[in-house]
This record gives sequence, C-alpha cells and structure tokens, in this order.
Amino acid sequence: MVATDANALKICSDLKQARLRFLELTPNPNHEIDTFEPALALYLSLLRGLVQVPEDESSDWSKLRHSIRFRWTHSVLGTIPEAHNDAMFELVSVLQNAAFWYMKHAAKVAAQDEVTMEDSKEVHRSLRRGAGILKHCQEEWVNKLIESTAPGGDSDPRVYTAYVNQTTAEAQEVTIARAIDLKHNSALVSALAFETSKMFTTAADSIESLDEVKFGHWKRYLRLKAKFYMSYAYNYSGDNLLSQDKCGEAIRSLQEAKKCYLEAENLCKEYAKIKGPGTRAKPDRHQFFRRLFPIVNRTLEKCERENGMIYHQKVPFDAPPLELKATYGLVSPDDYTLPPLAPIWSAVTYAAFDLTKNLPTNSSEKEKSDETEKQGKEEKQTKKE
Amino acid sequence: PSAPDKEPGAETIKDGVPVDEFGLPQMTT
Repeated sequence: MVATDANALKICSDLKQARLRFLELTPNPNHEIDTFEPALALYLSLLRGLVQVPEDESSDWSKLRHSIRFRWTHSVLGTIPEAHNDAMFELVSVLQNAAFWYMKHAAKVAAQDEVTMEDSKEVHRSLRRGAGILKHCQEEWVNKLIESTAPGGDSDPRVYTAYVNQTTAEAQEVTIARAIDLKHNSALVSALAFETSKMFTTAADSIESLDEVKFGHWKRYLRLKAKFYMSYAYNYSGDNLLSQDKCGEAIRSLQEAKKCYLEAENLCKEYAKIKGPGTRAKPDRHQFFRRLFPIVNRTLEKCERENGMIYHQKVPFDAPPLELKATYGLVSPDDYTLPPLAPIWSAVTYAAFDLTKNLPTNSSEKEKSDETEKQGKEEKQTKKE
Repeated sequence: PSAPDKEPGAETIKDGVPVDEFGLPQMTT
C-alpha cells in the first residue's frame, strides 16, 4: 500500500501515534476519564477511515479494511494473541478494551479509603459507560466480523452477556448503597437488591458452559455476588414485612437472608481458593461483605423477640416472595456511538491510498511480522493489566 | 446567568417523581 499525498501520509502517522497513546493509557485505570476519553475518541475517529468509506458511510467497507494486520489477546483466554487482517477486529478490540478500562477505573475509585458522593457518581457513570460501550460493540460491530473469534473470547456472546450484566449490576450496587444511606424504604432496597442478584445470576449462567479452568474464578465471583444480594433482598424484605406487622413472614424472610449469606460466604471461600484468571481476594473478609450479617442477625432476633411477645404469628414454611420489580434506581447501559470520522479523512485523501503498489515481498512480510510481534507483546501486556 | 452545578441529566422526572443521578426518588426533608 502506498500513500500518495500529504494528508494520507499524515493519517498513517496520526493513526500510529493515536494507537500508541491509547495502548499507553489502557493498562492504567488511574488515569482520569477526561484523559482517557479524548484519546479513545481520537483513535476511533481515525480508525473509522480504515473501516468505512469516508463521506459515504452507507457504502461498502473501506478498501483499507483488510490492509493491516492487528493482533489482540482476549481477557480470559491467556496470552496467545489472535490476529486478523481486519480493521473491524481492531475496532471491536479497542471498544472492548475501552469498556474494560471503564470497569477497572470504577473499581479503582470504589476501592479508595474515602469515597465521596462525587466518587460514587463517577463509579456509577463509569460502569454505565463501560456497559454501554460493550453493548454498542456487540450490537453494531461484532456481527460485522468476517472471521469467527475464539470460543470464550471477548466477542463470544456468552462472555459479552456476562460482562454487560456484571457491569450493569455493579453500577446498581452503587445505587443500592446510596438508597441505604438515604434510608429509602425497605421495599425499594429489597427490589433493587433482587434485580441486582438476578443480573449477577444471568452473568454467571451465561458463562456456565465455558471452561472451568479459565472461567471458574469469574463464575464464583458472579455467584457469590448473586447470593450476597439475594441476602440483601430478603433482609430488606423482612424489614418491610415487619413494618407491616407481618412478623411471621418477616422471620421467614430473614431466615432466608441468613441462609443466602452463609451460602455467599462459602462461595467467597471457593473464590479465594480456586485458580484461574481474576483478582486474588478474600471477599468474605471485606467490610462490604461483613457488615451485612450483623444486620440480618439483629433484625431476625428483633423479629423473633417481638413475635414471641406481641404478634405470635406462625412462621411460614416457605420464604415469602420478593418484590418483583424495582420502580426506581434500575441501571441501563449508557447509549454509546462512535465519534465522528476525523476531518482529515476526505474522499480525496482516501483515494490517495493505492493498494496496487508496493505489495509486500518476502522481506517486507518478515519486517511486518516482526513489527506485529512487537505490538502483540505490547497488547498482551495491556490485556494482562 | 449562573452556571449549572450538576452534570446534564443529573436530575430528571420519572413517573412524575423527581429522581437523582442514581435514579432514586428525591428525598424530601
């Protein structure tokens, strides 16, 4: 391929620099969103010219789409990269990694010793953004890939479903914490917790069929979160029932909350022991996990005491049904669209790329292979981060 | 005019009830 005018040459240079900048930022979630977002937008605006014909986006794919080989690893599959001569593969991979950055950024902010209201908003926003990018990528671009990607890879619908549900559920965790802090009514908190539990369950179910060695750690994380929020749901349901003087049902609900909590605790221990990709952690030792049990116990003891002294209601055999739908606070992924094509991509500049000239020879292929190998190492490092 | 002190969309109305940036109903004092 030969670039035959100044703007075409500049595009090549800009693409290279923008990509390097994106790769530099992606492994580090400590950057500010205001730093990451423009770098992402810049690279995507340039990359679009390799995917779609400039000035005619409804037309066929860019003639440049298959002219460059891109190499990426997948988030759970290890360090062996997948390579495609397809700018669409690059676009999909960049979007996925951008989403992962937003998820990691949210986790980094949430892990601070002191989390302010503005921090909570940033976490919430970051997770919604990440989910939105994943959703956009899967719905708009993954189905445009020509070559199928690896089972269990980041474009696998099962993996996508797990990620988008997890990310949305994690945003909803922030909402639940906020609702509790503000002392919203127990029915709302219970319903939100139930919805959150279901999202984590959906995420876990979606990757259930995938390799246990690679995905087992992630499955445990999702399952423990599902149980944990089910415990929350029953706890606040019990609180709500007690406020309605339904003491017997409240007791049963709180018993179920306790049962779910203990199940979550067991899953935490499994999570800590199981090998595989994912963070090394002991969730059952974290404050967010530990503070729930005393609440459940305290409320249960109160209910049992009041039932013995005042209500004398029968405790039902089955746990009462949970609120089926939260009215407020449900999270949806943000709407996301690609940034507009970079202005430098004019029809004239596009025409200045001549694919009939300077075709690769054996020597050129060797040099290209060495270069892509080097980039692959950079990208592997990105994925590992 | 005074500059806004919230990001766009920070508050909205859902089912006739003002909600905050988390989608939760605004709490009244």
